Amino acid sequence: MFQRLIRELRTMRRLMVWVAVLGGVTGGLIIAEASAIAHIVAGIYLGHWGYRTLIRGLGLLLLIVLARGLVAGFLETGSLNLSARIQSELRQRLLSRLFEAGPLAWNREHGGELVNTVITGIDNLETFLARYVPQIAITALVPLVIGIRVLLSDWISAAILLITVPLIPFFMALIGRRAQVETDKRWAHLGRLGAHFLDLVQGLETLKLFGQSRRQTDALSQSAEQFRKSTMASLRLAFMSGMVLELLASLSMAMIAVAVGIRLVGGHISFERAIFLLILIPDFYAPWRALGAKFHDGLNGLAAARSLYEWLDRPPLAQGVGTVKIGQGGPWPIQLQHVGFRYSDRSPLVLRDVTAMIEPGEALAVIGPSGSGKSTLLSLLLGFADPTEGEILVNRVPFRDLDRAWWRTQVAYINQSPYLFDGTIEDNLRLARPDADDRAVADAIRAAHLDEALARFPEGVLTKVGENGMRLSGGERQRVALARAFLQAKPFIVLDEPAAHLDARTEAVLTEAIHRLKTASTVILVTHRWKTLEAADRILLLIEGQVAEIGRPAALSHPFFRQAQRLAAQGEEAMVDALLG
Amino acid sequence: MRSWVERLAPYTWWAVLALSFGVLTVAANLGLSSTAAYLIAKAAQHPSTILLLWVPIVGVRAFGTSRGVFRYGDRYFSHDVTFRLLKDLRVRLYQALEPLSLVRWRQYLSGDLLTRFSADVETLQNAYLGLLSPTLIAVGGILIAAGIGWVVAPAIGLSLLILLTLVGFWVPWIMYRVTDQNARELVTRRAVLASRWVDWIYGLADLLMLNQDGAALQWHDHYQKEWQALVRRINRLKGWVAGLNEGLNHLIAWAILALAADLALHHRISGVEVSVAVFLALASFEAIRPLPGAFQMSGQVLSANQRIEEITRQPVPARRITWQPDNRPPAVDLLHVSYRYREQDPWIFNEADLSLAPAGVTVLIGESGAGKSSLVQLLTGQVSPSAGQIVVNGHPLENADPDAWLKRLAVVNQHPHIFDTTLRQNLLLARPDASEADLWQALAQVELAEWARQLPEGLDSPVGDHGQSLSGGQRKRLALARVLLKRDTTLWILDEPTEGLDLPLAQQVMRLVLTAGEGKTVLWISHDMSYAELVDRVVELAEGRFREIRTARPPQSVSVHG
Repeated sequence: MFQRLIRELRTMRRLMVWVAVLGGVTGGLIIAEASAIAHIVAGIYLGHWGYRTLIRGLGLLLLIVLARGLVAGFLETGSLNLSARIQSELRQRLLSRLFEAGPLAWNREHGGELVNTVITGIDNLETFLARYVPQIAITALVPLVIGIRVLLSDWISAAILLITVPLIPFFMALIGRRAQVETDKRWAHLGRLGAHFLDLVQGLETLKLFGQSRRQTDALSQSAEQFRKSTMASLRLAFMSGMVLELLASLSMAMIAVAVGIRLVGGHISFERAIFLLILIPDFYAPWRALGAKFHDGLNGLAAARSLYEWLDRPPLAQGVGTVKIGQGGPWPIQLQHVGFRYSDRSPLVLRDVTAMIEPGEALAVIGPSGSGKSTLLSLLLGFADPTEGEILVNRVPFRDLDRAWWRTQVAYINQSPYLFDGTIEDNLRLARPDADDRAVADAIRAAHLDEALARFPEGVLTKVGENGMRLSGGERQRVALARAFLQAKPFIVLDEPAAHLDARTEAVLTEAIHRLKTASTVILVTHRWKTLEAADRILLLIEGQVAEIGRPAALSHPFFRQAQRLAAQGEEAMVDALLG
Repeated sequence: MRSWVERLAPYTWWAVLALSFGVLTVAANLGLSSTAAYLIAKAAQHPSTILLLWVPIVGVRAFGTSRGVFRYGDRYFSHDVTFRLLKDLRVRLYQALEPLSLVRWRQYLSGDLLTRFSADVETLQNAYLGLLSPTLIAVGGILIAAGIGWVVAPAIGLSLLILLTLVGFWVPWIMYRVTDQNARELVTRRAVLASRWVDWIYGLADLLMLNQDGAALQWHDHYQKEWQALVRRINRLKGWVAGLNEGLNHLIAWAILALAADLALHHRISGVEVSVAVFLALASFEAIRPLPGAFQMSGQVLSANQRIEEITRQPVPARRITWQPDNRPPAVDLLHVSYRYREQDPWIFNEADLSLAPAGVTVLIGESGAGKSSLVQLLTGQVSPSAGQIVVNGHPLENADPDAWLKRLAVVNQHPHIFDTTLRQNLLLARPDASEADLWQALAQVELAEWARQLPEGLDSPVGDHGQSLSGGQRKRLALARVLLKRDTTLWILDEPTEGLDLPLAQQVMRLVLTAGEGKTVLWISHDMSYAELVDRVVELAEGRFREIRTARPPQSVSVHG
């Protein structure tokens, strides 16, 4: 993951260079400071220093101290800034990928987990990039610089350091690998915990109705407790590695102190050199210790990076690679030739050998029992994925050659629960055509009979709809969606179960709207409502992913359709609707 | 700050243990450095026998070994306490949300709530690990360092005390004041971003078809630019803090060295003591090193805490409970009921009157937006009328024991919530002790059994987020199965229960439901008249009032039981 971050992000490479340079400088300053301190202490201890030499020594030391402060400040600001840029870059990529992959690739996922990845996951990356990565550079460089310096002044101490050095990475790697597994689990746990909570909150009304809302406290508590346990499990390992490192550092410091002390007694080493070594030794281990303490951040960051890449690696189902835009204005004929679709290589075909012709300006209704593949067929027509078999041709241009973004500008889409974005009703309308003037908006509102619905809101079109349009009823939302379609005036209009939650009045509005829309556009409609079906010129009956029959309503002879017709004649409309489910 | 200490109360002894280990770790480090310096300095005087160095040698080894163990104890116990606290906090967050009325918690966007639950609680981890514990350990460490310094020379002890306190607490405090505002802003922005992402993910198809992906990317780009500017401002300050901290820490050693050298030049202390003082000063950094980071974090911690308390401190509306709903089918009367969500909103009900006879079946029709969903919320007691009264068997509903009342209700919502768990768990919700046979029977009554048997994992098949792997009709039928499973109900409220059902199934399910619901008061919400002949009476809801359409029970209804 780390390599991938470095490979793919230029800012990441800049970060690495930046921390490496400052890490080297830090190593040099540490040595300079230790030798200055040792010089002064030895001068005083041996008693041949006066005030003048002392002040000169202290002056030099002060300069070194200032430089250390400066370097520390630069390292902090620089790496944080670079990390912030990397975070922005990743968020932006994630969002682009969300749009490229489209609803077919994302639908069945847990939305809460994705939000968690974007918000908490990327925040975790900051700690990883701005704290852990610089610490890696410092750990690689500072002990190296110090080690060489120690070797130059006393080979026995250097030998003691050298004995401990291979042990450190050995323990870190040994324990680190297991800790990583634990941390991955922890990360997955946090995602699940978040999704669990979101599910509970969104279903609180249902839980209350079954008297189960309080009981969920236990389930949530158990979930949270599990999360705590997995957290502690991963931390225990990190702490263990910290302890081993700590022990190594302290013991070798103690060994060097004793070894140097004994040689001092024999007069084999100078006092200044002894002091110098003793000041320097803790700084040899300090980076390892700091790295051990930040190990956890590192693992968290890597786990976050992994789940980020998991999202980033989704196939770009909805993007397409075509570039063709059809020159003359639509609507154009659409041909479906032996179209088949499966979600992945291993899953079964949802659509099989679908062949049909959709004439420009007609209203084609797609009907069939639940699960017959109606919505998947619409998704293909909307361009959220390409057929895995066969071909869709628009004006004889293969669909996969069409510029996908352009195609979307040719289609107005209304689904069974139109999504409204947090904002006013007017904002939601203008989304459809940002350059629309006030008159066009007012016309669209009237055409969709949205004005009737607006009468109940004193703020009119300026009413805030709330998250996911919560303040509007199903019918009102559907009218907003219709008004959008009128405002857009696109060559194709695709309606996916538009009447699913509607009352008779809104349904009548909808049927009337379809009649009006099809004068200028091709209307493709999935519905299970008989009433809405009246607006259709032709009907495509889909059963188990295959075309059972297609034709004018009067000409259809399939038993399924006949039964629906018979019931309709007897006035059993609700039954018909159910049949068409 | 006080609220954190309160939350800590159940774990007092664990916290004390963690802190003791923390202070001991710092003490061991101070001991190791000063003893090592003492050892070297003594050795340099060329003592007659090495045995004279025995005590410092043992000291050096002892401190060297114990330090690692103390550190482990410190980390282990402090993290353990912290994560217990976070767990409590998560549960409390849910417990606080649970009794709030529907309208009340709806004001919090769910993405925002998720941020509070995940990110904000995670941030609070720093309240203990990053803030409270380092502060207390620093106090202990400074006192020990000053104590050892005092033994060398009182002036050195005093200087250490003053310098460490100044650099450890005063500087970070100033920095905290400077960075606080920015950190708060950062937390707020994070929540804005989270709710946008929720919008984008759940509205993806519409968003793409409205060609809003470009606008979303643009918004995001703009957001990132603003965020970058803010973060850079914060990072600059953080750089100052880090630089100052590093510089000032070393400046302490510099000052102590200067002081000790001066004392030595005046022959007040020996050369050995100079070395010890310098090493003591160098080692004392460890105690105060985490403090600037801690103070820096406190802004984020405080505002995360505030956002969590906004929910945990929500007052729960008090109720006067005077009666318990019993197992008789209730007569429900709405007397001049008026209702609206908020004061600036239009009236949904305007002095509306409606009575449901005990054990009667009523179909309520009305346009969408007429207030059918609000009626469900009123009857379930999730919201109260703005004016007027709902009376159940002669008692005001507002004085009913709310839990007991919900026990008597079975509801199919307009959009039933299906939980992201297995089919079985979704059913068990309605009757936790239901047997395997009960579950299959309920599924059979709504004609889902055959489908469920075909699933590879049967009842244990996961249904996906919001029941995504089910069709709309299946979701409704699952909700209907829950109604059938629920025990001891007296009032059924069914909001378009047959939506999306195939004809023969719809008919069959309807019969079963009406038969099973016999003897219960049933309110059937529908958008059309098709079922009118199956029921006792039909009422229309329009313009905030109820209007009787038909009251006689038609003869066809007999066929329902046939």
